[in-house]
Amino acid sequence: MNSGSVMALGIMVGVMIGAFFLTRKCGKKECEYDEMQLKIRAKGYQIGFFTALALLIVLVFLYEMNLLTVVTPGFAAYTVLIICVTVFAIYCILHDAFLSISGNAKSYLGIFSLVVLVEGFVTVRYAANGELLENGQLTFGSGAPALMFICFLAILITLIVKTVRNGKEAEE
Amino acid sequence: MKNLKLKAARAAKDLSQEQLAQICHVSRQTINAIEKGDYNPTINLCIAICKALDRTLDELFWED
Repeated sequence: MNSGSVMALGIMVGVMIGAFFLTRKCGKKECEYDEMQLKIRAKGYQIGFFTALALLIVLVFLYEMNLLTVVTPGFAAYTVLIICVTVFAIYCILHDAFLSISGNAKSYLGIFSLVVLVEGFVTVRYAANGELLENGQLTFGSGAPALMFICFLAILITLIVKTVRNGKEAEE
Repeated sequence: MKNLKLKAARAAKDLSQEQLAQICHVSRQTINAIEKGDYNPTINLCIAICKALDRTLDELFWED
């Protein structure tokens, strides 16, 4: 098993453990969204889906024209997937449908900050060791932390801005 | 169009958006969006708001 496979396995196990605890914690009341939020989330899924569709078409075109040589096809597909999730999350945050009715922004801010720090650290380490590119290409093993860092940073910044704005709105 | 009648009825009951939202089991942002006229609530939510504020549907949501 190479280091890329070990990292992918590690990420999968991490996601499964995270999902287990989230679903355990996420009782009926804690994960309840109201009618406006459900409507916005449905729109968010739609936007995410069409983003994926558009990006995949662009991706196929770029590979057919041999214009995208610095990224492996697997990592490119993974990038599309992560971008869709990020688009959905940012859309929901901006329209107040990311957190459930009784959801707490602080816990999400903590988790996202941790992810940004860890992924940022790994990305910097890869870059410092010159391991970001493998044979001149960005692969899943080397590129995933950088991608996660960028996407989670975007989500974190959006969540911070929205939380501050909502706080001011509530005071008024 | 802003729903000033709802805002006034809420203020008359001395309830904050957060408190009204808790009574109606929705988020504060949803109450805010209804007051600002950015969201059209379903009849179920309208009824819940009316019951919470002791008003009729006509009083809060009917526009001449």
